Order: sequence, then structure tokens, then C-alpha cells
Amino acid sequence: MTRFSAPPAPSVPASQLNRRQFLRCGSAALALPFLEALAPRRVRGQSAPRPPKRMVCIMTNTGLLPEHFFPKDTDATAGTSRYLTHLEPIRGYFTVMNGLSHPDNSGGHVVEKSFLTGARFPSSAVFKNSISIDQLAAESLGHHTRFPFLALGVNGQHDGLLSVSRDGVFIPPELSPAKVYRRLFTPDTEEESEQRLREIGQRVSTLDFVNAKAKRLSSNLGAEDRARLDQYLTSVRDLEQRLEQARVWQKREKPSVAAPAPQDILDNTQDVDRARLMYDMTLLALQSDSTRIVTLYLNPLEVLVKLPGVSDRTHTLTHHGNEPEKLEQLARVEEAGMKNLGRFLSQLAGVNEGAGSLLDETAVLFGSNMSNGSNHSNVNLPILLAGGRFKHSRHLQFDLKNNTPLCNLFVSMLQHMGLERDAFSTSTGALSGLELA
Amino acid sequence: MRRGTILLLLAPLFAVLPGSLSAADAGLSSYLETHCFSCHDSTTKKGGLDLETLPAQFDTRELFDKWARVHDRIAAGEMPPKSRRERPSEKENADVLRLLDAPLHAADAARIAKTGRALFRRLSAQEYENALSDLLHLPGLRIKAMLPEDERRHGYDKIGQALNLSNVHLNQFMDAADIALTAAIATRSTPPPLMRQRYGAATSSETWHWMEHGSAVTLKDKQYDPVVPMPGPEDDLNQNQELKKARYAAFDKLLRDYPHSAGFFTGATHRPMIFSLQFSPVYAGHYRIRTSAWGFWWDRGKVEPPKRNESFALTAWLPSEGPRFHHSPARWLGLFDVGSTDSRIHEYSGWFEVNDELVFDIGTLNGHEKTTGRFPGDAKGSCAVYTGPGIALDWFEVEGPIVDQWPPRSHCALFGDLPIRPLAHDSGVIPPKRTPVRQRSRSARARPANGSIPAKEQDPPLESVFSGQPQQDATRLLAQFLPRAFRRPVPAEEVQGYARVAARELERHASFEDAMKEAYKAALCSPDFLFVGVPSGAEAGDPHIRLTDRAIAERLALWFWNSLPDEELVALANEGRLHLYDNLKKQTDRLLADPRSDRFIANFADQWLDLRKIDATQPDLRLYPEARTHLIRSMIDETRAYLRELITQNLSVTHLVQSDFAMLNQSLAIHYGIAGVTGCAIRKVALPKDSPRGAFLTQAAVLKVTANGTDTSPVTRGAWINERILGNPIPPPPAGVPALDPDTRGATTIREKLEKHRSDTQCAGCHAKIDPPGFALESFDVIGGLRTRYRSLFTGSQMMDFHFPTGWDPRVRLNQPVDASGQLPGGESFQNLAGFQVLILRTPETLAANMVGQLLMYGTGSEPHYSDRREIKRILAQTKQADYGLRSLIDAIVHSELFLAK
Repeated sequence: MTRFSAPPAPSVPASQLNRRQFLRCGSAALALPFLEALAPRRVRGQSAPRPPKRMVCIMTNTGLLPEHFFPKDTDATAGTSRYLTHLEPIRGYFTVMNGLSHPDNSGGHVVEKSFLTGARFPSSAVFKNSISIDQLAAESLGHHTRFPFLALGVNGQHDGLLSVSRDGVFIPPELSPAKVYRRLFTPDTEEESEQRLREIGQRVSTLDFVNAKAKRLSSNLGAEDRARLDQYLTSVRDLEQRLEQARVWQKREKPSVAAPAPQDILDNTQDVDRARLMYDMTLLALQSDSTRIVTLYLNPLEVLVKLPGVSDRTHTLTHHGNEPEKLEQLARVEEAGMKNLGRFLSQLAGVNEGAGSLLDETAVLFGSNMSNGSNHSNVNLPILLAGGRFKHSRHLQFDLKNNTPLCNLFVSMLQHMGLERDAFSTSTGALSGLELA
Repeated sequence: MRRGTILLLLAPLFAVLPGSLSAADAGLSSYLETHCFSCHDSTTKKGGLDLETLPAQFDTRELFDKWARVHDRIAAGEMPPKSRRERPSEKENADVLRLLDAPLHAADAARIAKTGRALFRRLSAQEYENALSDLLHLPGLRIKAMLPEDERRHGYDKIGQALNLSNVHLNQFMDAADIALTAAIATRSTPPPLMRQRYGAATSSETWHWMEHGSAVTLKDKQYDPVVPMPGPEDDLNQNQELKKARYAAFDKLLRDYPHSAGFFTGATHRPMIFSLQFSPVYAGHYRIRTSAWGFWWDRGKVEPPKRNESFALTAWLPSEGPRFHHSPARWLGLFDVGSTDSRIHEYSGWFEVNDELVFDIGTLNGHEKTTGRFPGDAKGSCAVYTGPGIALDWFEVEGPIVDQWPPRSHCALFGDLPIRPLAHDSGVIPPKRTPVRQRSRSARARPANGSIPAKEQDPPLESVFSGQPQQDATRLLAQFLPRAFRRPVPAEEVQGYARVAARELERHASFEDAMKEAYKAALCSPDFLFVGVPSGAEAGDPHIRLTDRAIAERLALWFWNSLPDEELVALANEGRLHLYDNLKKQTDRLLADPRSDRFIANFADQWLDLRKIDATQPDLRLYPEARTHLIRSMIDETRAYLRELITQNLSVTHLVQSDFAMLNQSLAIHYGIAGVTGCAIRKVALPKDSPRGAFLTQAAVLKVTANGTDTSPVTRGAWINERILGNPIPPPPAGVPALDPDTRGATTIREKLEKHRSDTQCAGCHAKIDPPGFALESFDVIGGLRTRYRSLFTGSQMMDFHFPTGWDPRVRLNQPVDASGQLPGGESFQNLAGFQVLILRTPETLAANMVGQLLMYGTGSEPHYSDRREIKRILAQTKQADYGLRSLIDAIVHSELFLAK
């Protein structure tokens, strides 16, 4: 069954979930969360539902040294690089792409804002963002799970964030792995649950009340001003819906996992361990089908990452001026990040689901908004896609002078999620060379 | 043929569209044909612009913007390009500009007459925090960090178009309102016990830690006290655990109640010496912190008078659920001087939250590293062999929470004089949530310790506000609260609506406290509180949509206090008298004189000058060892104090680029090489004649936010000066332009690399405008230090001399020489910054026009509009007499139709 020489997942696999408890949560009102481990072994294959598709989008905002990231040649079987050696255990299950970027995106760090949206001109003084790929997917698929999506982060916002609402608003990521774990798995006491339901009820009533107030106000306003107020009314409606969903889920038991609650690491110099905890939470969230859509924002910019041979902040290192000593320090920081990614992907590959693995069902995007921190270039971005039912070819080379829109890859990812879309933001189609298997 | 084309296009439009050109304006078509079509016709379309077929129509955004750009580039003398042999005469230009301006203005003014300049908008996150802080009398309220970060336009977070709202926002506004209300409500009938405690500096385990490492010593009667021995220069406690244990045992035995002082020196390289004073409040409130401290010169065990004034800092780590580190997020409380061996008592007074933690920072001594401490990378040695400055702390004292009334004002704003009484657990209501009183800091030995808090304080009996007639009280309290929150009279039926929210909660068995809280929360999340700028109904034929007096009150308060209007403003608005000339003047005076105007100074400097980005990048400490916290904080203080000075003294807008004085303290003066400034307080200092300092242009804060921490780029700084100071918007770089690769190894400067880029005709046009101010500032490094040569870690044979008092001499090399010369787009050359300043100051009206534009964006929450220009011109004419003094500009704006109309 296991086709990977992958280390086992650290957390206890889903097979240890309590079936009775799980079934108790099920209800006709909401689609059943899929957990392969819960299907009785004998009948699996006949009546087991198809495993759901998942998506994880990860961005690190300091660039990646191209000479260490991209494979040396494009031969699908041979090419590797210093960083990619850490993905060896899942060889054949990822593709590195060179020659992708967002059109009309320049200005260095600021392009962070549109990494998952593709919105043009993020450095403009009058920039307006658009919906991100994860939020678009969550609009259609979010109702299947306790959390429509999870926005996670290691360190807060630098210039932008990953998840962007339809109105162009950044959704702040959760930065504490302990809180993620608590929300996903820690059962509420009866008292807590009652209180939470009471709070939800209060909030819904209050929203109802202010909604009526806002409607009365709108009669005095001109068209443009009314549009502002409409945003308020839409927010009220959306929040009501979210709360109603939360109310339903509050009445169901949370899945239990054997993995212990993590302890937050507050020392930001331990950036590698901090990121690893968030990867662990991502894995648990997917495994327990608490959500199917995760964004992970990695911001090591002003961190002095505690690693052997590293003595400067990452940001200082990205401005290496080609000095070999700084370049080597930077490579060590980035390499540690790639090891984290490799570990996470191997763990996904180690979780059995349906006839394959969790990695088969999960499209994992990893990349950066800059190709080169030293000159802040925003073209030829380092991009890697792992997992999902794609025919992976290890290295796809696009035109380095005339880049292909990164949104083409996003279209492919949305198709992987089962959404019938042939366009997203600045895309010109699905990504050529990356076919669904 | 060509002429025929444009006439055909123009002719029919004139009849139907007010905002289009007349067919009679043959002048325009003839100008375009003669001077523009050779590049901008239908076949060449240079820069994507085809003027031949561009319809002379102004009623769509796209066409309007194109024509406005044509107008502006001709006006700026950028088009037709200088390289053309045949150029229009000045009169031709003036004529064509008039021809374009008339329909552009008319079209834009017509649009504004319908919609207004500014949008009805929500409060920004910062405005929401300030508004709740003022409304609920909670000076220490910190809820901004809970809210999503606001988007900006032109750097400002007050522009309606950017202030979007989503369900995430709304949910978090509700959470934030809940936290504010919880903080406001008194949960006990008597005030929390006042603590007043003095702690000896050498009694804390943090001090012992530094003693162990040889960075702190015991002092008694202003001399070294050998009660515990100094570590020998070769003792390595990191390796020798036995020795370490023995030393700690000695500290614990001998210093637990040590009544004398402790002296502190520097810590390890790259690691600022910051340590907890091990005080973390268990009640939120107002605290008074007093310290007794003095300065000295340490010579291997001997205490001598200090050679100069030093300053220590107090900061407070923000609440944390785990251990803290020296880089944990903190609030800066201030710097305090120690200038002699006489003990000096300082006092800081301010609001502390539960689980804030008071921190001592050796301030100006940080940056003297290398001679003490024994962390990896340090030189061998300790206090036994150290010679250099030190700061002694005798004790610190904490008094608080200090209350001036009970229940506090915050509570009375919500519950008036209703009594607070015990609430029985069997009272039939759901008891309101209470947080037990505990020491929440996880730091070792945080005080007060849980053991010292009496049990009845840790879990006090449940008390809550009591109402014998909840319905009547709810209505009465809401009738008092809502007009303050909504800035207007609130009719009885509207009050009833909110009272019904409370009634609903009471029916659901909520306590009176919680029921009222829900009603207040509804108010604080309703559009009546959250949105500003309701227009009055537009009257037909009015060229503007008038603002109601209420909306004017909001504008004034949001501008000068970054908050909502107070009772006086609202009263004037309710009487309909706020918009009167004298009242506007008087209120502007009053608002600017109020301490809340510090929020305007800080927030405007944060947004206009990007000071909010001061910590976005941290300088490479190997290259810039001077870049310590005390210096960076002082940079911010300088810029704010300077802005305040320009407004208070009504100084000319020329002070943006040149000044004969500066706002300095000792740290800044040393940084700038200016003698004779002692002490940490910022004060006005007259500058020597040849000093480039003083003005925003050369302030360290500005030079830092326009650099990236390691290197500077004339392009970045040039674009910044163009946009923020000169008022020239710079378009984002075109796609496909290869970025410059900085290379600090070799002999090529960033400037030389840029030359190659600039010589490309594709790039030359824009860069001729972008770069010159950046070139003028090449003489300033990433932290605003003056330089004649670039710094490098690896290249250059000559070493820098830092002149650090301890003799510490970081190994930084001097690389290539700096060239600060340049040429303005008009062709005038300058050799250095001074030359650039002379050229810029020839046209102070340019600086004034930009200043008005920036203040208008901040003050009205609107982007600039084309039709603003005539009114701005009028403002400039009106303030020319006053040399465009900043205060004169502000007053003229407040009285202008741009401010008083929507």
C-alpha cells in the first residue's frame, strides 16, 4: 500500500478516531466529513465515498535562492537541487515550475498582497485586492466541514496576507498552534458549550437588530455611499450564516485525536520549530477533515533564525549583495524551511485514504512572492506543487522572459478541487503541461 | 486628413455632453496634431496613447483620466519631450492647457456635485480604538491589534474607498466592543487594594543573572560592594555548572533582602541588555513607577563620576501566555537620565494592563558592547576587567492601581450611579463572567506573587451592578449613552429599540449587567456608531453636497484627535453653529491644544511620512552597530516634535526641506555630530550654518524608512520624496524591467549600476524625474548617518572609527566614495544636498500645494480630485502672505469648501 519511503505521521492516524463518536456527529443537515479510517475495512472499495479533495497554499515571503531551488536540468527523472533533495521521499509527487508570475505585479515585498489573488498593481497607491483562490474554493466547499477554511501563519502581516475575502479584505491568520488545536479538537465542557451557544444566539439577535437599523439609514444615501452601507449589510448576512453554521457544529462533538495539544513556542528565533508546529496542525486539520482548505503564511523576514552557522536576520541575509558568507547563511535558513515542507509532504503521503494517500487528495502549493530577495524581483517565482491527482513531472519550464500567469496554476488547482472553472483572476487557462491524472 | 478625423469626433459630442470639447476648439486639435501626433497617433501609439482617436469625452473615468494625464504632462513640461526640435511656445502651451482644463474641471465638478468628494465610510481600526477609549474613559484601551489591518490609499488608512468591511471585520468589531465594555465595567463595590511597594535593584533574580555573567555588580554607598565576588575573567559559567550553582546559592543567601544598589554594564554583542523588573500587575489600572538611579564610570572595580550623561529606558512587555524574550513585543515608556553619581528619582505614570511586565533597559549603554559579558562571540572579560560607563539602580517603586473615583468613570458612563451589590448564585440569572485575580506572568518570580494575594482577592465574591427597576433604568441609561455614542440627539423610540435588546436579554435570564452590555454592544456595532460622514440631503443646483454640522464635527475630531467628537463639538453641531467661521477657528485651536492632538501628530507622521514602517526592517547590526532602540525611538520623537513645532509656530512649508533648527536629544545629536546636547528630552536646538539637519528631508526617521536596513537606493528614496514632499505621483515600474542586483563585494556602487539602467531610453523619461532627490540623499546611510563613503563588512582597506566611549571598535570597512550630485528634470544640476535644497526652495508653492493635498487626504478621508485644484489654488493664494505656514494651511483648509462639503 505504502508507495513512499516516508516517515510515519507524528500524530496518531485517523484510524484511532472514535467511530461511535464520529457517527454521532453525522447529520443529514451537513455533508458527512470523510474519514477513510472510519470505513469498515471489509466494505471499503464497495461503498466507501470518494475521498474529498483538499488544498493547502503556503507562501514564504523572503524569496528562495533560485540556484538552490530550481533543478539543474529539466530532465524529469534526474534533475534535483540542494533544496529539492529534501523532497526525495516523495519523488514523482511534485512539480517545480519556473517562469510563472502574476502579470502587472512588481514592487518587491508588496506583491505579497496578491500572491493568492493575482490582483494587478499591488504597489499602486490605489490598489484594490480581489478574492483569493482559497476563499473562492471555500465559498463552494466550505460548508462541508467544521471550518470552511483555516488561515494560519507564522508571524503576522508584513505587507500582505494570503487569504483575501471577496471585498478585498485580508483575513488575519491564526498564529497560535495551541489555539488551532483547541478550536479543532479540545472538547468544550457542557458549561462552555452552553455559553458559546448563548453567545452565538446573542450575536445573531444583535446582528438582526443592527441590520434593521442599517436598512433605515440607507434611504438618505446616494448610490456610492449606499454601496458602502451594502457592504455592511452583506457582512451582517455573511456573519449570520457563519454563526448559524457554527451553532450546528457547536452541537456536535469535535473529533478527537491522539496527538497531544502543542505548546506554543514564543521565541521567534525558533522559527523552524514554530513553522513545524503549524505544519503539524495543518496535517491534523486535513486528516480529521475539520477543513479542506488551508493557507499558511510564513514570514521569517525580521527573524534571526536559530540555526548553526546563522548569525543575521533573514531580511539582512536576503540583501546579501552576493557576499558568499551571507549567501550561505541564507541558504541554510531556506533549506531548513524546505526540510519542514518535505517532512509535511511525506506525512501527507503516509496517511492512507481511499485507494491512495492523503497527499493524492491534497494539492499543496508552496512558493514565494519574490524570486530573489536581493533585487526584489517578482518574476520567475519559485513555485512548487505537490500532491493532488496531477501527472507530476518534477520540473516545468516556462518562458523566463515572458512569464506564464501564476493564476493558470490556480485554475488547475481549482479544477483539482472539483470546481468547474476555466478562469481565475489573470489566468489565460489551466496550466499547460500539468494534467490531471 | 488627420485634422478631419478629430473634428469629426469632436463635433457631435459637443451638442450632447457638457463635459466635452467644443468643435470650435480647433486650437486643441491643431496643437495635438503639430506637437503630439508624431508619436501618439493611431499607428505609433507610443506609451499606449493614441490621441488621434481618443474621444474628447470626459464623462467616463477612463477617458477623463487619460485627458487629465495629457494635461498634467504638458503642464509639467514633460511633454512634448525636450528632445523634440520643434517645441510649442509658452503661449501655445498655456492656451492648450486652458482648453483642456475647462472641460476637465467642469466634468469633475459635475460628478462631485452629485456624489461628493468623500464617501460615507466606516471608522478605521485606530479610530475605533480611540473612539471607544474616549467614549468609555479607558485611556489604556488596546483593541486595534484585534482588528484586521486596514488597507490604505496613498499611505492613508482614512480613505473611504479602501475602508472595506467584511464579516471578519464585523465579528471582530463585536469582539473588540465586548472587550472594551468588559474593561469599562466595575465588578466590585470597592476599589482594588492599592499596593505601594519598593523593590531593591539587587534583590531580583534577573539582576543575579547579569551578575553571574559579569554584567552587573552590587554597589553600596556609591562604591563596589564585595558582598558577592565578581566572576574572574576566566570563569566560564556556561561550561562550569558547579561554579554556577555555587554562585546562585550565594546570591540567594546574601542578596535576597539586599538594601543597596546594583550597577549595570553592557551585555552581549547583538543582544541588547534588557531585563524584567519582575513586576506585572494583577489589576489593570493607572500605576505610578518611581526609580532611583545614577550614572558612573567603572574602572575595573572602582566607581568614578560618569564622563557623560547616559539614559536608561523603561518598557513594558505586552501580555503573553508564555515566557518572554528580549525581543518579545513591548511598549516603549520612555528614557530617563542619569548624569552624575547623585541618585536621581524619576517617575513614570501610566496605564498598565494585567500581565504587562515592567522592563529595565540600559538604554544609551546598549551599543557599547564587546567588553563585558560572556556569551559566545564576546571578548573575554567581565566587570573585573571592564572600564566604561555604567548605570546604577538603587530601587524601583510601584504604586497602584490609583483610582480617583469608585466606581470608575468608565463604569459610570454605562451605569450612572446604580449600586454594585453582591449577586447571589441562586438569584435566577446567569452570573456574569469573571476572571479570577491572578499573577498571569509566566516570568520567574513575577511580583506580586500569587501567594501574596489574599484568597478573598483572588476569587472575590460575585458582585454586579444592581437595578430595582431594570426597564426604566435601561431606558434612562441608554438615553444618556446613545447621544454621546451617535453624536446627535437620539429620539425616544430609537432609545426604546436598544432598551428592547436589554429586555430580550433579561428575559433570557441575563444579569442586568450583561443585558445592558449587549445593548451597548449593539450600539457600538451599529452603523450609527461605526460610520461617519452622513451628508445632508443635496439641494438642487447646489454645486456641493453640504455636510451636516454633525459630519463637520466628525471631520474635525477625526482629523485632530483621530477619534469621534466630544460633547462640546456635538453641542455646537446640534445648535447648527459649528460651520460658522469663528466657531471653526476656535474649535481648531481647542482641538490642537488638547493632548489628544498628539494622536494627529503621531498618526499623520506615521501615514504621510511612513513612520509606521520604522521597525519594518531592522538595520544590519554588524554594519550599523549604532542602530539601537533608544536611537530609533528618538528618531520617531524628533519627527513628531518637529511636525508639532511647525504647526504650533506656524512655520513655513520650506521647513519640509530645510531648517535652521532641529528637535534633538543627546542620542540624536551624537548621531548627527552636533555638540552640546545633553539629556534624553527632545528640545529645539539651533543648528550650525552648514548643518544639513533639521528638516524632514534629512531626519533619521525619514532616511530610515526610505531604506531597507542594509542598503539605500536612490530610486526608492527619489520616488518617496517625489510623492510625499514634492507632490509628484510616481507610477509603478513597468513590467519586464530587470531589477538592479545590488552587489556589495565589488567596486560598483548602486549608482553606477543605476546609470546603465537610466541610459536606456525606455527608462530615462521616468527616472529623470524619480532619481534626483534620491541622489541628493545618497550622503545619508540607512539609519540617517552622514556618509562620504559606503560601509562594507568585507571590502575596503580603511576601517571606520566609531569613537565609542568604551573603545569598542566594530570592524566595519569604508568602501567606495559617495556621489550626491544630480540633475533635476528641468536640467539644473546640483552637487550635493545643499544644492538640491536651493533648487527646490525656488518654488515653495510646490511644497505648499503638496502639503495641502496630504492634509486634505488625511483631514477629509478623500483622495484628491481634479476639481479640487481651483480651491487649492485659492488656499495657496490666501496663505502666501503667511509664507505657507503650516497652521495657516490647516486653518485655510478647515474653512475651505473642500472641507465643509461632502
